[in-house]
Amino acid sequence: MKIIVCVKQIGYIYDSTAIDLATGEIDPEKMVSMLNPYDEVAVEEAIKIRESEGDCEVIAISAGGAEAENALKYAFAMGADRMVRLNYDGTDPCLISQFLAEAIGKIGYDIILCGKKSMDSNGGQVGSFLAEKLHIPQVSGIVKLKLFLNEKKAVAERYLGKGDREEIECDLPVLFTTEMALNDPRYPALARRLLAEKTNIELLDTASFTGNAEGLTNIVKFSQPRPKTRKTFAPDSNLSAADRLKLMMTGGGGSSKEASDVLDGSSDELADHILKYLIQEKII
Amino acid sequence: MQPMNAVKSLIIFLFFIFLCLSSAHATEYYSFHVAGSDCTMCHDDPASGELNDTGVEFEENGYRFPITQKEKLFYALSGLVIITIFLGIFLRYRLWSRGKPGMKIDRLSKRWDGLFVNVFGQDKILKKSFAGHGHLLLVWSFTLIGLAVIFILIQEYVVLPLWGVRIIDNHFYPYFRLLLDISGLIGLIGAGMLAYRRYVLKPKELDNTTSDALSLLFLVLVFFTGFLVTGIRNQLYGSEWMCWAPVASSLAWVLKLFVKGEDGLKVCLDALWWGHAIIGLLLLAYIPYSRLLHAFTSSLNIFYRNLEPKGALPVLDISASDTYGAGRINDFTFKHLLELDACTRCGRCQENCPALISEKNLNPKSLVQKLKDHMGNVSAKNNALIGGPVTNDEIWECTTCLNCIEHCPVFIEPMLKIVEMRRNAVLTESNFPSEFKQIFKNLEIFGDPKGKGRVTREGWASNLKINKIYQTGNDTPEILFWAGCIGATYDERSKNTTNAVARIFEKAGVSFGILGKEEFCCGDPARRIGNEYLFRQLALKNIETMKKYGVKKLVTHCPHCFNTFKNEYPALGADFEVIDIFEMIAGLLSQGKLEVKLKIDESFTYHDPCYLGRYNSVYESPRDILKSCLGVNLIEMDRIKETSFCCGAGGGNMWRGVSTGKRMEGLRIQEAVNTKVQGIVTACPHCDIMFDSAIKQEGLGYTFKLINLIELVKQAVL
Repeated sequence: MKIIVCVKQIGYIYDSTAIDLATGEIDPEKMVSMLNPYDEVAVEEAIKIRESEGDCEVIAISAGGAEAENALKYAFAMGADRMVRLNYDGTDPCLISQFLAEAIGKIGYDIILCGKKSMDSNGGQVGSFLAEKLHIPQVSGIVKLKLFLNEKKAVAERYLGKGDREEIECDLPVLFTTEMALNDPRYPALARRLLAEKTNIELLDTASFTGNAEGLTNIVKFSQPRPKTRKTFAPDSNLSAADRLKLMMTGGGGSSKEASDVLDGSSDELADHILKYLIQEKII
Repeated sequence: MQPMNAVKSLIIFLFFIFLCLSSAHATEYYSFHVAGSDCTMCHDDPASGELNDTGVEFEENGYRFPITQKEKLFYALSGLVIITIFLGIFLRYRLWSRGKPGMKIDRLSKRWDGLFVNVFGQDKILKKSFAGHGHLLLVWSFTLIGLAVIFILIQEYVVLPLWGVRIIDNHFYPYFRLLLDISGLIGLIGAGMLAYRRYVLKPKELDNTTSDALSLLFLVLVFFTGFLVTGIRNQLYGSEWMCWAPVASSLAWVLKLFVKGEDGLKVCLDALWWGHAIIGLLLLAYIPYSRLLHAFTSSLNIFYRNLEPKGALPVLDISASDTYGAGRINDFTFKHLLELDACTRCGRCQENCPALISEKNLNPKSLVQKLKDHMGNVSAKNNALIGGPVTNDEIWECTTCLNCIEHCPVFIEPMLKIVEMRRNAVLTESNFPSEFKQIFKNLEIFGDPKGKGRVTREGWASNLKINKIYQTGNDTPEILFWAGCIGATYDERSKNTTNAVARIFEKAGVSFGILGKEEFCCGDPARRIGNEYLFRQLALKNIETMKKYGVKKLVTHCPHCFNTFKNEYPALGADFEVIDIFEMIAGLLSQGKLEVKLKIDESFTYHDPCYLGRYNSVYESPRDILKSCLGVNLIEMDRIKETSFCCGAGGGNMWRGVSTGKRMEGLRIQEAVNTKVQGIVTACPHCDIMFDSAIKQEGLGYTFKLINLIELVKQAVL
């Protein structure tokens, strides 16, 4: 079985003053280059499928310039088996998906995993375009995935918002785009990282591809939000340093320790728990 | 193992074997030829000098004592004992040699110095007075008896056959006799002290096993029977040297009260002689199979001790390999495995370990012992350490505070074993607490643990005009001031501290610059968590930047950065000088470049940060600044300087937040509050963050101050 994972090396802007509004240029010092976190989740899911089903080949593919090789190498370090780069420098999602569709069609596929969106352009279009061009079903923003390979079926769960979820069943081959909640990506071991540096990246030239059509969309204007008064986040000072750091790092809303005290079970068990708690706290 | 190292270690090893054999032989010789021989054996009438039969035979044999049945039996037993000792040590040696090479035998004179100071001088052991002195007596007793024995051996096998001269003659013998008597006495006292401590005082860092009891019992019995044998013989044969063996003679005199007649004494003598011989041999044979082996292994370990700066972790080769660090017992180096056998379970590491004191799972002593047991279990040699003898909690609870290494009397390094296991967990298994994943990614992508990004690194300096080295071109300032991640990016309190350093330097007219956005994390968090690869990336990037700007001197207020630059960067090719900021400020104050305008007339206590104190032995300059320059009434806590308690931040634990046991920072603040001062002075941004939360958690936010020493200096001089 072949699992294709589409990855992208993104330029993540961490400082709001990075873009010069007059020229539209981005200050490279205020940007970092990294593998798109949504794609990282997709890679992790592909490796997990390989680990549980066995006999799978995970192929990481990326359309981009030389910097895209970093994304591929990271995906390889995480556990992908092959790296393929489409040499293309543009940003148009329609065109990219056209190229990807051709390349993936040549490689062959059973499952395609894409990140839900990239964290630099926030378009979220490539996955959908790609499914369209390959004429396969697509489930977007999945948070849980179950495979039934004997029946050539997959069941994916996705968020609807407000806590609602739906389960979607579809036939293979299929394209999924992944939500961050799908899994917790692994940290690559050193041996794989060093191997990634040595392993050959397959390079496909897009010149031979048919989809040389113009992009369907065009960016005409860019604007930034009005500057807001800066709010300094002050975590609850009763928390420990680690919890406060965690809160600061996640921007608040970290899990509080008391939340895990919600009880569950039969009425007998509940009564037991409450009694134990009362004795433990020396209330009775 | 490299061939040269193998040869050298074999030589040392053989030397100890030789000592062992010679003491076995010499004990036997001593009992026959010196303690037992008085003139009446060879001369019926010593005054006339005529030889009797024994004497004649003795002379004909080239002064070799004729061997009787009793002696044949004794020699056979001795032979067995020697084989047993040899086998025992060899078996242990084989276990150690399964490890990877990694012994360093450079700076030999320094090694020998250390060996003498710590084995015969008992330097580190004496830091605990009672136990130390007990042990000192025992060691010296054995050393003196050993020296006497070697002396006898030289006389018997070298001097006598070659020149036919006796050094130990009638004039010399009494002094010799007295020396041995005293040696025996101090040994007995030493053994008694140790037994008293172990079984009456019962300090909680000691755990008692049968082996401990047996070893002590053997020691006491050997001394005791030795005295009795000498004493009774003197009584029986009326030696004129009775008064030269006061202890032996007195003991024999007591025995004589209970045993009637010469025949009774002779039976006693025979029984006691055999008792002494057998217990002595048993003791020797027992050495390699008990804690007594530490006489060899600990001495070896002291000789081979780590002479690198104690703040530096060993460099890990990160070229392609199947495994990094220690995942299995044989991934440890020879030295690490030797250390396991050098441990005497004295418990000084656990007594000072903040993880154990705060009731967590980690106990450095039991960690070493568990690894030792695991090493002995050869069939399990390919089992993973984590999940086997060691648990995940244990290795991640360590705050790398260095207490265990600092206090080990025989230079065992439990923390380095933890670091090796962490390296394996991170680099090979990629199985570590998930909180670290984000730290690693942030360090790799953004260059600081929290992912704030490099341009934010100049925010703290926005109200000051500071040279940024990348702007000054060729005109590089003399000193580079390194702000560090905490002080530059994410902690408001520490940003103020960083700002304070710059303002103090400005005031004192120091020519300095900062790297600003070209600064990256020094790599300390990554390295202590075990990610050597990331550390190397960051360190090489920083070294490259500093070389580019020709940085000659660097100063930083973060002890973690300080330690990394000073002790760890040189191994990667850095060649700049790292200045201790407190020494520098103390210097500026004493030179009059800084003037104290406002005396701080308050009482404070000072917390030694691990990475400043234990790691780099900076204890006095912060205290000097506090007391003599700022006029602070400094009241010390119980645990200061070498025994300073950790705030709980090191080894990545500030970002992780260990949930087991009590909070280390809380314990430390409680200790500070108990000194009845107005506040605690720290010298490390990590400690600041930890204590800040602890003070608030204890509800002391309005009554107990927390202030960084730099801030205090700023208040006084500006």
